[in-house]
Amino acid sequence: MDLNDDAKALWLSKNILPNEDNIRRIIASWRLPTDLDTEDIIQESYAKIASLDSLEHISSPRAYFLQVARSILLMHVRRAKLISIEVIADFDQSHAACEAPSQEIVASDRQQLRLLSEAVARMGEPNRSIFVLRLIQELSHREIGEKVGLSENAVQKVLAKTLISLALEIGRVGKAASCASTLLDSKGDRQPWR
Amino acid sequence: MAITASMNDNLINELAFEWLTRADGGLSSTEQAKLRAWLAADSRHFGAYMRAKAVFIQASRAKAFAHSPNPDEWLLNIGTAEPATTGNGLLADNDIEDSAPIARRAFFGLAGGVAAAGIGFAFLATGQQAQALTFRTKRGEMQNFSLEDGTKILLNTDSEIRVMLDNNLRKVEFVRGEAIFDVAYEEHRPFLVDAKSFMTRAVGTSFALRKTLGIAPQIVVKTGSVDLTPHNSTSLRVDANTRVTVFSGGRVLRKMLTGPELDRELIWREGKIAFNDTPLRDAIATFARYGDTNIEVNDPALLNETVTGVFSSNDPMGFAKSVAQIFDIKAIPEGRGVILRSSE
Repeated sequence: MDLNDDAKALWLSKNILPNEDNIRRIIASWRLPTDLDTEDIIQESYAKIASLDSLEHISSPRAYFLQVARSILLMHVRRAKLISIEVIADFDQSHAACEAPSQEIVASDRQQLRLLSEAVARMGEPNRSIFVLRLIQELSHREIGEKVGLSENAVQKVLAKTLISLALEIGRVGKAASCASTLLDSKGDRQPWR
Repeated sequence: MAITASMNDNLINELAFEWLTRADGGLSSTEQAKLRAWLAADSRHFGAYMRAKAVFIQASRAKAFAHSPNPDEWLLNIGTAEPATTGNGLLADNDIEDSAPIARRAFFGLAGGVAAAGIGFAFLATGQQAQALTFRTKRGEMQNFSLEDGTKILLNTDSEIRVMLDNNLRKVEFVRGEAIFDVAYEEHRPFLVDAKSFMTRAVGTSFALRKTLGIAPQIVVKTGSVDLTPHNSTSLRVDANTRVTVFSGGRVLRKMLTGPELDRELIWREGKIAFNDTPLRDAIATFARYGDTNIEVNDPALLNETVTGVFSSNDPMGFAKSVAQIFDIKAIPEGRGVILRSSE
């Protein structure tokens, strides 16, 4: 495993991350088994996509992301021997319209920059200063620590927390896809998976 | 909301970001081995870690705001209007609307510090009156000059001016390029700049003037005020924090500038170029002012896409790479230049 696989991470940041919020909403509308949550599916999806030899053939990243997420749920369900043909057919078809490729989200650089700057503007201190010093001024953790009066270790912890919340903010470019919120709204009508 | 909560509470996710920031600070070989083991232990670990890396890369796009240390100002830089799909800084009639902000335009900068042979001081020391002095910079140069009256002039790339000083007048013939004048105050010896299509008059002020091929000339007043007289038209007073663009026929467009906007107008002093939703064709034209690294684009549609951010004017290759990253295309060096090639 290559720890420095930046090319793939770059591809993910441009093609998958902007669609993540939208895909989360769709997953949230599925009836998930109790031992599998949205987060598991998201993480497994990233793992699967990042393990591909080549990403160039993926012309529609959102559709691909969704397909991978779906296959992860199906594999899990089959492995768990809880197969219900009816249920699988149900989720395969129920949201076909909303999950169509036409919902593909192409976030402009400007949109992404705006989301990013809004998120940073909302950050509290010292998170914001640490973010700016690391990502913009490119100081080392030690230098940042000296500036803000924290240990190197504390700087890393703050940076990690900041990026965790930022991840959710910048994944929201796809919010515009109104279909997804309809899915969430109708979720209450369904029986939870048992 | 529930989605947020589940994400923040997810232990794997937290560990992934912790590993990422630790790796960002540098890992010892023991730690690297530990990270590898952790990543191999569960595919979700690997997925969460790759996601964290993607987030880090996306977050580093904030470098586009490197010129402005205060995040509260970033949004001002982006603006709220929808991106303009056409247009550029080129002279066009429909650009002229009273007090309407120009939504799109190129900003200009300079290339880093190649020192030109000083043309200035030797002549000036003689104090000879009405001596015309030519100040010139080559492409990629930026140069400071001082006049004997204490006025300071910063010339941007590929610029030329001629200065004449006598007992009654300080006069500059602005041939081409871009300059900032910090005019020493002399009430009885006004400082005039003749840019052909207009003339400016000041007694003591700081202002920038730009006159380059194909783009309407403009003046930006930083402090004090400047009287501007378009050719064949009446003069107007331009106060501090104001930009005036002069169009053919003596028409002008005036725009008040916020602090960040003013900084962006003058960012070329720092060897940078700021683009704000600038069409790629204009951005490339701007880089061409600073050097002969040719940036080509194989897909004409890309030329209308816009770019935002601040770039080093002496690093067209770095700019090309950023653009390639933004549009998910490839920047391929070729000869003295670089080709931006879309994958299709």
